[in-house]
Amino acid sequence: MSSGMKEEKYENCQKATFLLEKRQYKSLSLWDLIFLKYHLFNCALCSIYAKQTLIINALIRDLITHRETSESQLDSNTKEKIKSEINNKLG
Amino acid sequence: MEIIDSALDPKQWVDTHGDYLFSFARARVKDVEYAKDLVQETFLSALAKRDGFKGQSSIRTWLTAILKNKIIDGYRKRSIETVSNESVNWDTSVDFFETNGGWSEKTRPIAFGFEDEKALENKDLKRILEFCFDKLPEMWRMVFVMKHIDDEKSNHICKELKITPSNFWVIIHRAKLSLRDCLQKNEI
Repeated sequence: MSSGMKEEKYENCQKATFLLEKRQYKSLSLWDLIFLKYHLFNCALCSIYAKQTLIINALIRDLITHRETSESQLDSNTKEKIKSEINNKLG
Repeated sequence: MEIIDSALDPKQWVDTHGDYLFSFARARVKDVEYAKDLVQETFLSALAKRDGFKGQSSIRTWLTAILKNKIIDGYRKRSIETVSNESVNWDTSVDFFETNGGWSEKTRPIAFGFEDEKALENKDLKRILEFCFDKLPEMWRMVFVMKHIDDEKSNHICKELKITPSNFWVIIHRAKLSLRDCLQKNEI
């Protein structure tokens, strides 16, 4: 193993992580797929990233749905204020 | 007729839908006061155009759609003001990679130790993620929420937020890199 080879596998991590994101929304071209497969096979760092990015998606989905479903947050002052605005408009 | 009228009675709206709309807004904007304003504006503009409500969807769905448009309008207005700063940040803030495209020394991924579903049960991880997520620039959070939570098509998001497709991918990529890095830096 020459040091040159070792360096080479850490190149293109920027492109690989970009494709890892893109593939969550769009199918990649064959060329990009081959690049990505080959890169992940050789790069331990991007392989970690590949797992983590999916976990982060799941965590955020979880966070937002939790925020959406946690009830009784609008304080009564604001509610009364909005109600009286509505009543005013209704005349 | 009566049933439709009682569902449509604006006097009931705040009690029936206020909490839901507020939670919806809170999940998408950082500022609590701003979220309250959005809810109020939603009710008032719904009131003004309630004759246009066709009854094809539930009143809640209709109100939510109005609120969502208001949130997007807000993002758009503010992003026009900050767009020049943000586009600079995309290129120069944190350098995740060396010029050869390899990971830079200080941002290299380290395994969290739970790269699987167990992560979802980890309370500390969730807390840190919440902190990191709220630190993202607003536009990044919005793109993320529209894509991952609302399941909207990429080209639709670009149109709504008035960003180019290539900016869209840059945002998605950098938002994820920033989040991941923030999680790692905060000692998971």
